[in-house]
Amino acid sequence: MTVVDRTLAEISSRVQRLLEAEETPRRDGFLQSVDPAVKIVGLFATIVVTVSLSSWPSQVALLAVVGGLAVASRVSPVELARRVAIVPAASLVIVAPQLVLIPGDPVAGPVTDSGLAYVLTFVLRVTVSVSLLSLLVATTRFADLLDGFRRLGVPALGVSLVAITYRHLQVFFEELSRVVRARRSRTIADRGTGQTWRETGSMLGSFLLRAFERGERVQRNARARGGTTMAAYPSDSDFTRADGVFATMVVTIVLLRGVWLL
Amino acid sequence: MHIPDGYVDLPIAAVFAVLAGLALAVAARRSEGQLEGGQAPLVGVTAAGIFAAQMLNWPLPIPGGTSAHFVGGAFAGILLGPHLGVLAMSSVVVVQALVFGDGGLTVLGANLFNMAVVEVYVGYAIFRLGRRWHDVGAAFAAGWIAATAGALGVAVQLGASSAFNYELLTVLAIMGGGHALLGVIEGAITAIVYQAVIRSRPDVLPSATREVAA
Repeated sequence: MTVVDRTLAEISSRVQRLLEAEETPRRDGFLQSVDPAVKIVGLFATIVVTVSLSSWPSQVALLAVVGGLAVASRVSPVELARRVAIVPAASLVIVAPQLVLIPGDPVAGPVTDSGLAYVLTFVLRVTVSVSLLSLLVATTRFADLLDGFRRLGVPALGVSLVAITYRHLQVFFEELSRVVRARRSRTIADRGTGQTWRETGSMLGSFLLRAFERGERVQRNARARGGTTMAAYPSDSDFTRADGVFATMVVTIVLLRGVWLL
Repeated sequence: MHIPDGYVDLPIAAVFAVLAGLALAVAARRSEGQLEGGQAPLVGVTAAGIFAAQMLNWPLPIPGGTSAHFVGGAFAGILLGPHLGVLAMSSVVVVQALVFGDGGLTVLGANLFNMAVVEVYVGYAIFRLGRRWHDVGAAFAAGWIAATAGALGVAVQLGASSAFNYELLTVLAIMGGGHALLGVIEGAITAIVYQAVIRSRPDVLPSATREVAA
């Protein structure tokens, strides 16, 4: 695979994730019906509990909770695993030396029981945390997520900035894809690394300038309309049954953590 | 460079969340209120452009077709100025976490600190110091040192955490050494892109009069 193909594959993968970010939250599932602000606080609290635990059986229990939430939210565990797999896999590679570095009773060759427990706990902790974040993303439209953060007191300016960035991502992915394809169509022979770098630099410079100029145009238009202060998204903030069930689940997890039962 | 949840102890994550929050507050304040109704679209849209630019693969002269990516922290500072650059890179980091799951929630502050605050401010400071002698060389040094500084930030956060069972010095040596090498690539990309931009539109630099900001 050439670097051009690799670039196009990465853009395509990101675009796919953008589309998924809009599609999966439309499913009729449990987490989808929880208020975004409640969901942000609840999943954040659950991640905090996860990160604070240092025993693998408690991580396994939390992984079961994640699995249950995924099924109830009509996110297939396979789909969830595909989304998050790279992070636990990379984490395993990073902490694998601890299998033999941490002193303890040998269980298999140089692998110690303490090392095995540490690696297992670490990878499970990362898996559960990443899965919880992925569930938040998979069950909440980005606009609702931003609305949730706004209602939780995140400054409107920060929310507006992130909203503008998100809104233009698809545009720039498509534009970069077009630029890369056009360059490939004009290239008939391998030009060597030095020449490729110069051409890519020039291409990326033009691309970023176009991004900057688009920003200037959007800025002028926004100013002509009277500013960029965004109106809050209309939302129904009544506490629903789903919110109550979810909040009860989170409070139970936090309480269990509090009395060291997990 | 994105730290996932589970790598950093909660107290350390909290400290860096506060530091990142303070730095972002300073950046917003130093932007002199222009963002509200002013430069927010410019910053947000340019952030999206930088995000897309990170997708581009740069071939390396290494067997096996290895390639590298542009990060853009130092370049954001050079293009937009330090404070707007910090806000633009923050927007990139937040979208990466909340849309693509790159990095975690409890470590969002730490990731913002490393990739938005440290990389942009360090990169801009190096560029500002060096451009009086050679602007393209300064852009190279800015990209290189900023990437290394960001990685050192990650190393401190990981090395100080009991959850990550490696000694601080070990993590500093691996992350610092590795990114001092990888940072050369970021520096080279920053310099090449800077050169391409400055040839086409030298007026976009913050030191030039920016018509839209008037």
